[in-house]
Amino acid sequence: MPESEAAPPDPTLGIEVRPDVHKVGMICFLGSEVAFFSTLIMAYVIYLRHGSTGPTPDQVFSLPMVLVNTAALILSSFTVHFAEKALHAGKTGLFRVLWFATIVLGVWFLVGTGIEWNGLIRDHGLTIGVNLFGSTYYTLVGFHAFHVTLGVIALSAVLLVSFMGELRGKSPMPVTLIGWYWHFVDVVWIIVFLIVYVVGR
Amino acid sequence: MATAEIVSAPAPSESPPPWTAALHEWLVTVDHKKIGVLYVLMAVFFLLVGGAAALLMRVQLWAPQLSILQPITFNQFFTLHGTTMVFFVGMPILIGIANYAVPLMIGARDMAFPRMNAFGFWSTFFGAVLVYFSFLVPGGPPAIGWFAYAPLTENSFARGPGVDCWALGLIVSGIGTSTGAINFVATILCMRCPGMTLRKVPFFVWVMFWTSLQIIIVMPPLTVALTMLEFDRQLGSHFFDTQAGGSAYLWQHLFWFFGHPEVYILVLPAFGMISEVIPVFSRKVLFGYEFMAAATAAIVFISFGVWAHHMFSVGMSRTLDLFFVGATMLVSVPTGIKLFNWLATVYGGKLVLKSPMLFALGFLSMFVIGGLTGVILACAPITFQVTDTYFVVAHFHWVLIGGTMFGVFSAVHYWYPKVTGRMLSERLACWQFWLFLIGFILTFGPMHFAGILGMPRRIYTYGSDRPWEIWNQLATIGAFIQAPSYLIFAHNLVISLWKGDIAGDDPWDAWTLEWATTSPPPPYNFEVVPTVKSRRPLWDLKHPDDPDWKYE
Amino acid sequence: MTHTTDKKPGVEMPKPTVWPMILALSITLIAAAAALGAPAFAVIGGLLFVTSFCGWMNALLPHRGHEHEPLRALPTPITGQVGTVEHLQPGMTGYRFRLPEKVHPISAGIKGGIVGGLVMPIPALVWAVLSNHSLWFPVNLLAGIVLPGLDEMPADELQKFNMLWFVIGVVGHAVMSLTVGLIYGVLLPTIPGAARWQILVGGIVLPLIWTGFSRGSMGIANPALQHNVDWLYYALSQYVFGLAAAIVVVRSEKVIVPPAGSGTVGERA
Repeated sequence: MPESEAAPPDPTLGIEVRPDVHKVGMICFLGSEVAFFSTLIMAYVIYLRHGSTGPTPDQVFSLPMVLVNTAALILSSFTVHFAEKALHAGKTGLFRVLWFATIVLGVWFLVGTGIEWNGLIRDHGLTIGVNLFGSTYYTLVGFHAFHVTLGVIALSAVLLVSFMGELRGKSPMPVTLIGWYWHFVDVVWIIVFLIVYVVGR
Repeated sequence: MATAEIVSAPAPSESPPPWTAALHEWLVTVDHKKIGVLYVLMAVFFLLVGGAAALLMRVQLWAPQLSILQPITFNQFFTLHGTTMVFFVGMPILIGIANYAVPLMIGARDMAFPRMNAFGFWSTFFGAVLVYFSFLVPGGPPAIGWFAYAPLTENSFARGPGVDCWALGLIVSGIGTSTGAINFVATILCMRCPGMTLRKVPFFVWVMFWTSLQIIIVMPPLTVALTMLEFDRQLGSHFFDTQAGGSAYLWQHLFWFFGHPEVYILVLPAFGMISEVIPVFSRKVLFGYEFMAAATAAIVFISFGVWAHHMFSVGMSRTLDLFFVGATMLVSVPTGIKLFNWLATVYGGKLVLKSPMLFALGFLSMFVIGGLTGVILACAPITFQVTDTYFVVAHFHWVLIGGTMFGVFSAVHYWYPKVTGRMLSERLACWQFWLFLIGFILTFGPMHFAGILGMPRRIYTYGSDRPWEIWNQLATIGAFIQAPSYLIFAHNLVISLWKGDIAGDDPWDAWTLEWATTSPPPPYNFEVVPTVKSRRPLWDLKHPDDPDWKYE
Repeated sequence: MTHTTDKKPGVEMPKPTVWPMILALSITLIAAAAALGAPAFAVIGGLLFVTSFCGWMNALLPHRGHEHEPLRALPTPITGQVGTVEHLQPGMTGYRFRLPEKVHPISAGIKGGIVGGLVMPIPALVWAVLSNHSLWFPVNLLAGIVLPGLDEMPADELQKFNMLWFVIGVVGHAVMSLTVGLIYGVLLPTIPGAARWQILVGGIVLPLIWTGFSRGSMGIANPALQHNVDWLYYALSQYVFGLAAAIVVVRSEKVIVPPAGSGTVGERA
């Protein structure tokens, strides 16, 4: 399109900065995830101490188990952060180690959740159908675990790409975005932990 | 090599098996323009399907004690009619038109995430297919109403898998809608051509930005609510199971937290379309762009705090009632600002009464009436009287048809030449407009009276001792006047592909960037990415002695 | 403006791909499996999901998901036509038709508010004297708009001077007077016709409206006033305010407003 001759050169044109599409997309996605988990957490809080029968939170939770899980997830937030730093500094080997550690910690969290659920179901008879507490608890924690699973898959995909030698640049976009996602999942867990295991008990 | 694998480039000289090649091209496309067209075609198809269900219901209500439809069939029809019109007509047609227009209007070559765009469409489409799959399951489609109040949706009341098809279909199509919204935000924030600051985007683009933010925030709560419903039905949890301490009230809150912003999602893009059409056909600049822009943001913010005005008759506390009455009344302020700005744009203009403008003027007059009954219904004491009557039905049809559909028809008539390179027939458009306007008023006007006379919505028939028969008959006559207008519309869309006049690049002498490329645009939209200096870049080019950028 | 279109004959665009559709289909199949209780659907859906996800990710790797679109015909260049814009000129129909050419300055409204606010208490104080109340009584009642529970005070408490109530009453009175005065400054000039019609509206009609409104709603806003007020004197002080403010506003000198914006009407026919 030819420019109008009468128009003087606009000094602001050269310095316009547009944000990165992938980052904006990720922020929007995380925004919708906030709405998603807010709704689940709200339902949990509303129904807390609502059920008339069956196990209650203070009867079934064993904190040590959950604390180990929580520690693993929080630690994974640090490993993913330092993995990014390592990649930025060009230390690909260290990046792969830390990234792999993140995956291991994520899997640890999932296995830990599985063991905890196994105990809840076998020892305490807490299933999703037994009372409202079971319904809300398994839905909230289950959806969080589902997100951790997706995160582990994404982390593994990036590791695979890294070993294929296709991960280029100092801070490739997938690494940054999956890092954000992982931190988000971690923050959600801290909130869930505080509400379900600390305040809600 | 990549260049050897081009399948989407049309090659008129060769003759591959025509329909399979075309089908393949459309199935694999990631072009925002083709995806936009797919959305619109899907919406027009479901418009005819949902409209047919509505016609059958109108026939059933023609006289007292008719039994043309079984009671259960009637319930299934109004459930599918509502669901279809909201999720598979309203949203796809708006998102589809925006999908086509937004990248062109901001001078971009595609959406930010072209593949995700395709995924969004196909999710919406397959979600709709899953909902309609319920016709084939034992027990048939759900009979729960489009807002599916618990505990009617629980296993004890709805045994067949129809409700499951409905809920999961909506989850799938909701995923599609959310990805579409994320795509719009990223596109509008990141893909604008040089010079187009956020203050200089065409108004429709601005509106789509806010609508998308709204979708991003309100879709997940619906997904959560539907998931809880599915857990209740499939896994035996107790979210909405009142027998075990669950709460039917929670469903209402979750559904309407989505549901009320949803009606703004359905009408805001129509506002944007009108705001493009009215200036061009009044030959004047949009009056008060900044106020319009702020009003859009205000509507979005207020919309998050009004949902419980759907629940006045539930028996919330008086404080909550007052809050939601006040918040709802507040919506009329930014909406009023918009209306007056449109009127001020029309005022003193040199009006060109072509089909897009006809529908835009229809929008202006009809939407006001729908808005006014909205203000009436915002008063809790009046809602106590007329809730769940035909007055409510009349109100929201007046907003969704008088607002959304008039806006959509205006936009389709406006952009069709750009999409196809051909003009729609003005003669058919006039027939469509007048049949539609008269039929619409005659269908939904009498429903106000039936509602005030106490006719509940969703009844499949009524006794002859009730004073409702005449109003129902008028409404049914109106529906049969309205119905041909949709067929004329569909016919016009198809026939004009061959018979329409050649449009040229810029048939309306318009001012936004989509008219600066060919009709239809090439796959890359713009060979040279344009540079703009004002909100009306083509005005600047057409009037170099008095360009807009001197004043903005 | 980083697009480089000149290196190859074409524009780089994303390549069409079937995977997004298959991914959507796979999710739908998994959902259908849940809805219908048919695990076979879930198996097919799961397989399709993995396949399409990998296919999609593959397209995201560099240089795999794009193709070159050959160039098509260029659009017709847009040409400018000088002198096709119609500007508003003096004498043209519609010029200065919608806006008043002259308006009262903002100070007129403020002055009107001050004068009105000063004369308004006179009827109230006259009433206080005539009905054997203390002079502080009307002021204290006014403070009841802000202070809840004033109506439950013993009657002689309301007769005494109270610094807090006095400040609240006076500040409230001043704010209300100024606000209404400013509104008058903008509103009254829009009343067509001679100045006496503007005075009639500002001095009689508007006070009548808000007095009636107060009569109906005072029980909610200020129960203390509702119990004790004499509506005759109440209305009198509203009229005194309205007349004084309206007269001051209408008599003030009008100033010319410069035209706003370009004055562009639109395109010449």
